[in-house]
Amino acid sequence: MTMRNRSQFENQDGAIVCHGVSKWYGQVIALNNISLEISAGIVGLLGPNGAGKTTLLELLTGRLRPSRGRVRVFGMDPWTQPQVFRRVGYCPDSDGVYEKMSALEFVSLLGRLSGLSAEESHKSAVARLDLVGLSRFTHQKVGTFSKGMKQRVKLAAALVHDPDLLVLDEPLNGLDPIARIKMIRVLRELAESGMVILLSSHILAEVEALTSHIILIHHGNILAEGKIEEIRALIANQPYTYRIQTDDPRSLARALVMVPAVESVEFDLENSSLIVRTAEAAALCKAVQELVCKEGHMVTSLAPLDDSLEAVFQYLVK
Amino acid sequence: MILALLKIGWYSAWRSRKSGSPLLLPALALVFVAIVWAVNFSSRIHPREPALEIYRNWSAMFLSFIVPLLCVFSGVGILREEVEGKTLVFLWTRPCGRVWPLFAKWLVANVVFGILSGIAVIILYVGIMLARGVRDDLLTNFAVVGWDSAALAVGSSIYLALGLLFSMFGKRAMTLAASYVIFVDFLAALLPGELRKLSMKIITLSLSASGATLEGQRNPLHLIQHQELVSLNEALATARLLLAVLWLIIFVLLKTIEVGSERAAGAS
Repeated sequence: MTMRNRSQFENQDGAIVCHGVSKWYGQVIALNNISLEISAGIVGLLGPNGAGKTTLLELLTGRLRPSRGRVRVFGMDPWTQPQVFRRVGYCPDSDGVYEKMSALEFVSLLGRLSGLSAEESHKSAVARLDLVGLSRFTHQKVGTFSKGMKQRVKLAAALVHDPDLLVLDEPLNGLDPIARIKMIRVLRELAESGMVILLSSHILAEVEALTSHIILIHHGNILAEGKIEEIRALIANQPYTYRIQTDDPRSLARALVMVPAVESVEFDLENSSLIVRTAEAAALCKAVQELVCKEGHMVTSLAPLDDSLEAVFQYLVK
Repeated sequence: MILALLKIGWYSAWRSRKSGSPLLLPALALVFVAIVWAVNFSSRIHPREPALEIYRNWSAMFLSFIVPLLCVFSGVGILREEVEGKTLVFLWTRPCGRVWPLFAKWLVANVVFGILSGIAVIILYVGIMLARGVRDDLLTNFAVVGWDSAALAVGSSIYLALGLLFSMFGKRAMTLAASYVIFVDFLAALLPGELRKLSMKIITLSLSASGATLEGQRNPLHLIQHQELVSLNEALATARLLLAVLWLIIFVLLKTIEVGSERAAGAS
């Protein structure tokens, strides 16, 4: 796989800049005054169904026009300047493909529509199909592919012209676990090569496996943006929840309730563990350390339960 | 990129769900010829005299009804098939923009309809002539076929563009297209004076009728004798104007319609 030197494309503006963007349909507000900037790496766009993720992606790919505000991709307006798509690859969520074309024909054709010559397009299509693990199926009709294979052929089509920005709508939908792992690996490699990747998902674990940089969107509003841990730290009024695995939960619980930082302790005797809530994670960790060292409690694990996206998302939506 | 765009058009014209429609032209021509043969055997009409007139009547049906209907439906399919097949997103997120892919598809559809309607009128002409016993001087009036083919090619390009325009009105496009051909175009042909030029049927029939000066022909379009046709130059000029206006409207609409996955003027 040959990668373009992406440094030449470095832009003072971000790859994606949205400023005060709103989109409404009659009285329904799909997006409400959204501003964001994405410059590098993999960014996960997260939110439940109907949150406004797809509308945002459609605005970024020039399929919709903002009702208010400004959308810029590499400094260009995707609604009026289709030439920006030389630098943007889009992999939609829908199953639509040209079913009677072979995978190679399909990807190669879209490469040519992106401005590649016939030869370049053919070479790139072969390489991209290989990258997504479809090299054995290049001459098979896309219509005969499974949902997961179609997903991969669409990714190959989005990559065929070696874009600087890859926009993916629910890219892991329909993939089996092995294909999912491969896809995640491919996306990470692409991001390491300098490609900016924006992917949407309503499955939090998918995004968590790919990136820690997220944008949480709900009811057309951006609830939070940044690293998962940073967002979690912002929720100061919500206690952290830890699971502490121990051989003697009762004894450890007695000791923990005496620690000022601990807000509550619950028993999970089935798993021989305690569920501890605290507003001060560092203080709890230090206290547990002291209980182990000074009082001889046996602790086999201490793990946060709610640092996952699911928990963060639940907190923010509440 | 141009070749790739044409390839998309070619793919759509032959492989998509509505690909059967241009192929109906030669198929219907064969059906019409079969009817003429059947009628010829059942009645003992003088075999020679009315052959050209019979051909004219059947070709008029092609010009005024069959080709317009097939072409508007096919024109609707140019955009609707991409929307319904969810493939439009691949075309419209490429640097070629929104208009060129659809223009290429329209262009290819023109070629396909042009060729197939030409084949259809040849089948019709030869079949009817042979059915009526005209063998030795089969080629005497063959120029009529040329005029009819040209008229069908011009007519199909306008009706295809009209279908593409209707396709932007969402799921009602097919109904609108059929209503236009069956009612609006028919009524416009009955309008007085210059207004009847608004009927595309009149334009195509007028182009076809240009061959009427050929020796030995009667009124070429028996079916619409009551309608006053326009001259060749007028017909060509009006056809050009109509096509330009249609594409201007299509261009403006394509630049403004939104095609989001959930709600959109063109998609819903």
